[in-house]
Amino acid sequence: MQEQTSYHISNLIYKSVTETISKLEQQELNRWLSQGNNQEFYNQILSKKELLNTKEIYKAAKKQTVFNKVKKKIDQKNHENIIRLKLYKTLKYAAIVILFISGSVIFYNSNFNEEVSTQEALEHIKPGYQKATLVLADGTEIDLESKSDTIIASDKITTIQNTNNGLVYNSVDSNYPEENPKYNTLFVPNGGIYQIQLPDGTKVWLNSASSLKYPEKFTGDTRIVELDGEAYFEVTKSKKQFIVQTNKCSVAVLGTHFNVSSYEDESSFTSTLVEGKIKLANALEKQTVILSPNEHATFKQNAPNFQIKSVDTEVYTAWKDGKFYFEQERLEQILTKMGRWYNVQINFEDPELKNETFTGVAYKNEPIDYLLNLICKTTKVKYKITKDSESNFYEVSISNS
Amino acid sequence: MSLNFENLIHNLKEGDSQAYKVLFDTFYESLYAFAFHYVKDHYAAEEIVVNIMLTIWEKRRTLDPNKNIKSYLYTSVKNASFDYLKKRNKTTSLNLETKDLTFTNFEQRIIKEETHRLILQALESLPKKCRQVFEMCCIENLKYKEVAETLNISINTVKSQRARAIEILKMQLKEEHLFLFILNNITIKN
Repeated sequence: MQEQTSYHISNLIYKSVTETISKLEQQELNRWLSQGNNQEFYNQILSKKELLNTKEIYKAAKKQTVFNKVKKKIDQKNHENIIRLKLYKTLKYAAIVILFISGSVIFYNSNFNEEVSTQEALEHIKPGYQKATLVLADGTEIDLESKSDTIIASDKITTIQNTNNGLVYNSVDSNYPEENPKYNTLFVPNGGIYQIQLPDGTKVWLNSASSLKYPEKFTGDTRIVELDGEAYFEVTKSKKQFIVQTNKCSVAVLGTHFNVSSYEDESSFTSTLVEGKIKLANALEKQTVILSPNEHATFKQNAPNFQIKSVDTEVYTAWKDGKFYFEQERLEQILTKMGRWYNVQINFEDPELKNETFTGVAYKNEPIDYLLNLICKTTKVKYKITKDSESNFYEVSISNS
Repeated sequence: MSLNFENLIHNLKEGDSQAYKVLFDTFYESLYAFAFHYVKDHYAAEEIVVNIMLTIWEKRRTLDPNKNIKSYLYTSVKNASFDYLKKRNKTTSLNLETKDLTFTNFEQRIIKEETHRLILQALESLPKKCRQVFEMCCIENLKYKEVAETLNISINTVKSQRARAIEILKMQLKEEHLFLFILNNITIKN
């Protein structure tokens, strides 16, 4: 008899006893009963003696008492992990949050913080998902999370459709007389990620705490978009140059796949090229550089030149496929990314720890402690989660183990 | 209790303590009885099952919806019980006499525990009067008249309470069906 069958037979016997069995099931049970000593076995396990005996054992098992013990043990184990974490309420515009963070770290580190168990933290700290806000040219704000699969705006020039996968722009009439383009802005908050298809077919994945400004229709000789934060571009080939402007540098391309990260609260700009060719220029256009596939350029605001190295592009683009991918990355950068995704604040008790490095991959839909535990196993840090009792913000605090 | 498949697994994986409690409440007693059958010691049986339940919590993220959670639970309890016996027999004398040889077969043992679990949990869920009548009719196999006399009620009351019990259990079965399906389908990788 296969073990799997045992569970099935149990169900049949239960149903026959409680007279809830169907005819077909009864036939099946009868077949089983006719085999070997099954009938005898059946009578035996259903005997009053056996059932009462089991009932006594159940009583002795003291389910509720033991469950409380188990619960205590689990809580203790969680406590041993010593974690601190602070979760920020989702603010509408992540960019604003980012500006606050540096100042508020000091404030929230005061005595308001109470340490919370991992379990409590995990119930409140959830990975991000697809959410974003679109601001139309006339200032109308549209919450994209609640409007799935709808055409959210349409005029003679363009229709904007919110699909499950993101936002799609379609040019309605390419011969429509060109006028001054209307600009839309897509904001993705902490814990969000969003995909958008621009009117020229270019696909953009916008990472957490990022915004992208673009025209409803590309007019003129160039296609220009403005980025704050991180985005992955798959630019549709065209004679018109596609330009990504950030506050630090710009990227000019004809048709390629590349990643750009330029957060306002970070001092560096980085760009990674997956295929094709791109031209980078710093803000004053004093420095330009051309990247080849698998090259990664960094520009630091106080440094004179772009730094270029060959990389595994997967490290820099895994985020758009729902993964964290770190290769010898500094903890400061890793935790900044985690903070954006899980919407928590990060605090290094010892600033030296920011320079520890970590290599590893994790799916972004894992709970926050998965990656934190992974990091703690391979580096000399431990973490704690705390919650500000007044604001209900969570903070991850990293210290020496 | 309304449960749906995706939610329970999802919640358990995410660390939802409520989903964990459902699992514990459903299986703790029968696993305890299963362990007790082998180890014949209340403390040892409790320790064995508690450890396995703790492992479930720790490994919750690796729960695989495509495998059988019951199978994982019973097999783990059996293995842990045997380990316990091996250790104990090293320190005391080898005493196989303590083993109950009535159900030596693992599969039969599981049928017994699972059947008892289902019946006892079903009884537990019935209203008190219903439960008494149903227990006497269906489990002790007493005649309506005997039940009526014992409980000092009319034969018609016995019949109607019995019918009511079956009705309740049928309703539950619709949910239980879903529930069993859920539990059948959660298990642990490795």
